[in-house]
Amino acid sequence: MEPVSFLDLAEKLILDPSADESFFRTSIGRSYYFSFHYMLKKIEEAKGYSVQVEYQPHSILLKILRTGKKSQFKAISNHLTALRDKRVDADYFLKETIDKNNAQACLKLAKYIKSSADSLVEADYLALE
Amino acid sequence: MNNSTGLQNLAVVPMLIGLATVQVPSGTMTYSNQSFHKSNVQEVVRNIARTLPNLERSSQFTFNRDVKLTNVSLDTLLNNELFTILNHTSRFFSHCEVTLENYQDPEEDFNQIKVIIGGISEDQMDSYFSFVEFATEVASNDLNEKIFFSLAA
Repeated sequence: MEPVSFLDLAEKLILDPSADESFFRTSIGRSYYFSFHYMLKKIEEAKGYSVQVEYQPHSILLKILRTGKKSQFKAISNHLTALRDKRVDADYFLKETIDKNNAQACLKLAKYIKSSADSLVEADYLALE
Repeated sequence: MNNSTGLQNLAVVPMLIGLATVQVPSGTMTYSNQSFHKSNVQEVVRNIARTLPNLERSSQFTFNRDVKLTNVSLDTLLNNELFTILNHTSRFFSHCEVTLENYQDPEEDFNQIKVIIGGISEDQMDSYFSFVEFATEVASNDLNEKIFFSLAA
């Protein structure tokens, strides 16, 4: 399965005419997991091996991204943390109000991560430690 | 000569301690507002910058009414990166509200500062992305691990 399937689903959930809060909460989760897996895939494709993320996967990915020479890596790691924070709210804190605007903002963050990641070339990913 | 210098030093020390005690009771600093408007950022930053040098390194730093940044390195705050970033919000937004919150990362054993940008319209999202690129570039590696920027809910 390709990570972009999560991004497509995140958008479909927002656009669904019957969407209620559970759709928006689920969409936020998909936006985060798309971003996580998309960045992981980019790194693994460039490096040619799998990154071990069984334990503390988010932290491991951030630590790798922060070693990037290009400024985009730092911005991406920031947005990943912001998205993960929203994902935690969406999945664990049902008393918090989550609406369509929240889900749309997360989708935009995820799309920004994708376009930013795509603007980087293989050599940029290879330079990651 | 020596006595005179000593007396001058003695006179100065209580004044500095007094200043610190008044402005930073119990080694903490509290702002009563949960968030502050862009126009107030400079004043807040100025107050912090004026007060922080009087704090002990081990002091807790309380920014908001209910928030304590216990494990945030004061060195990172003192080196003005955060202040520089906050001061530059006006470069990116015609209007915004900045809130600082304590954030406990589920996967880390240290607290982070969550800088929440609110009050911006949807057509300012590009400005937000530019702001984050600027801010994360300004932040040192150490600060980058302890700070992140987020949109208000």
